[in-house]
Amino acid sequence: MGILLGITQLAIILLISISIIGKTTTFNTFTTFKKSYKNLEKSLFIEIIFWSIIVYFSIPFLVLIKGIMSFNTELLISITFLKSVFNSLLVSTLSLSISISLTLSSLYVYRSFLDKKSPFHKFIFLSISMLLFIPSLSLSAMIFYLNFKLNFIFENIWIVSIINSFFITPIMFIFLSGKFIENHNFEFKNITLLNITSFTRLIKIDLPKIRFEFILVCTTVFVLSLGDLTSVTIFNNSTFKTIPLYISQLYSNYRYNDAFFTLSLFIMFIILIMYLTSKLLKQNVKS
Amino acid sequence: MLKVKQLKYKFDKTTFEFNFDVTDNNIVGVIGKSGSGKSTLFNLLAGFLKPNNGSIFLNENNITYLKPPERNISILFQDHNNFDHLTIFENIILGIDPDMKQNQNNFKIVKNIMKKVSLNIDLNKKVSDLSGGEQQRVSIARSLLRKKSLFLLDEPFNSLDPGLRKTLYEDVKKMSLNNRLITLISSHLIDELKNVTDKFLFINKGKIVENKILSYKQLLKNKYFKEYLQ
Repeated sequence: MGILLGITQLAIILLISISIIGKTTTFNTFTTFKKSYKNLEKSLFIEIIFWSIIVYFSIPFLVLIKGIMSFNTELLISITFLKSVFNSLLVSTLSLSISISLTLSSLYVYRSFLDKKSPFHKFIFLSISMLLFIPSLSLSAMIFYLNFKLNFIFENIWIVSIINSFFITPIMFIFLSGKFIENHNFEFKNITLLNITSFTRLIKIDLPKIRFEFILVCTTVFVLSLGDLTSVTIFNNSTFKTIPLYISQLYSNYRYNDAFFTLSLFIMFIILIMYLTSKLLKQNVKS
Repeated sequence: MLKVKQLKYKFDKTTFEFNFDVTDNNIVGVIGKSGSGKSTLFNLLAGFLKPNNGSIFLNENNITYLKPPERNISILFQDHNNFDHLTIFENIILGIDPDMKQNQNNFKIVKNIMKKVSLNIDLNKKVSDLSGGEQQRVSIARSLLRKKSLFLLDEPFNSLDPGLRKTLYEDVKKMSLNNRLITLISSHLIDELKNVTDKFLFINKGKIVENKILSYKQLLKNKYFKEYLQ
């Protein structure tokens, strides 16, 4: 059943991608592909898929409109809602902080093996790639089991943050690794000759080098972490809720309007974060 | 003075063997086919490769087993000599100050060295915004700042246009002689090297022909060199 679900998802993703690529005029990379694709463009089937995708892309905006129409001041000032917002932000910030340290350390170790021409760098990449594909539910289950055995030494907020960080670290690592080891061979020779220490290299050379990608991936994983429901479903209790859990509970209690309203606030917040990030990146590029 | 004695390095089935002397204040062209061992020689001199046998003496010091930063050497590659995301100032001052401190003294040093390499650009500009020639001048400026006595240039200007190459070769010649450096330049553009120097190390199949520096006239008498020119 799981395999069938995976294949169905893959087919949907492929259909979405093909129809978008087929219609786009901005992706020069796909020019050749587009030429060979012209005959298909006229197909009614592709046109239907294309317009379905437009509908798909407008879903967040439909939710936004529906949510704003269900405006609820009482919910906005309720303690449960405010606590959920606070918990969500706290979990995401903690997850991001843990993930940044883990990613930078992993990148550092990964490159150290490359510097030494050791094949172990392949092992690190493989291991991190595997972590990316292990469902966060499995990670949650392992940590839940450990925590249970250790007699609940961790608070929920820490456990959820740690699991989230395990979930987002591979994304950060894979996203940043290309830029981090760019021109590695020449850079290694220059760094060695100039006698630059590892710490100075990381702070003065590596971080400025990956800063655009770093800002972008930090925002992305922060938002991903905000929306994660897996770990919090396992580790929640009456006092600990995040926004996604709060929304899911509103659905369970048939409070659809409130759920849409909360969801629209959530979407607005994400749009704001993405907007601020793009502003920051533009400013950085100009400078 | 640079003395390379019976320096051996084995890689796969190939054995590289180098044996030559270069006296101070000399520019030597290192020529040979692709894969003949030019870069291997430079990597051995810089300490990026460990030799199986032999020794390297620079100014009477045995540097054979010293780490790269402990050797009195600067190196310039064809590409990627700079950190593109850093400014001109940062790239140059890295040669003597890894912390790249932005103080008056460092700015003064960088401005002075920029004049010497004919770089009249805003030193806060990113290196990625410079032309290929300007980028190489930044690297040369950093190398000069480090005041090392052996300057290795591994096909340094091959990706630039001929006019610019000529100017840069002349600049390197002037700087090497003014600073009394031993400069080894590897290139396959022998006609251009001839304008810079008449001292050549010709590497054929991992070995230096006749184990010494030869003039162009002497090289022309060598059968391997004749084959190389064809």
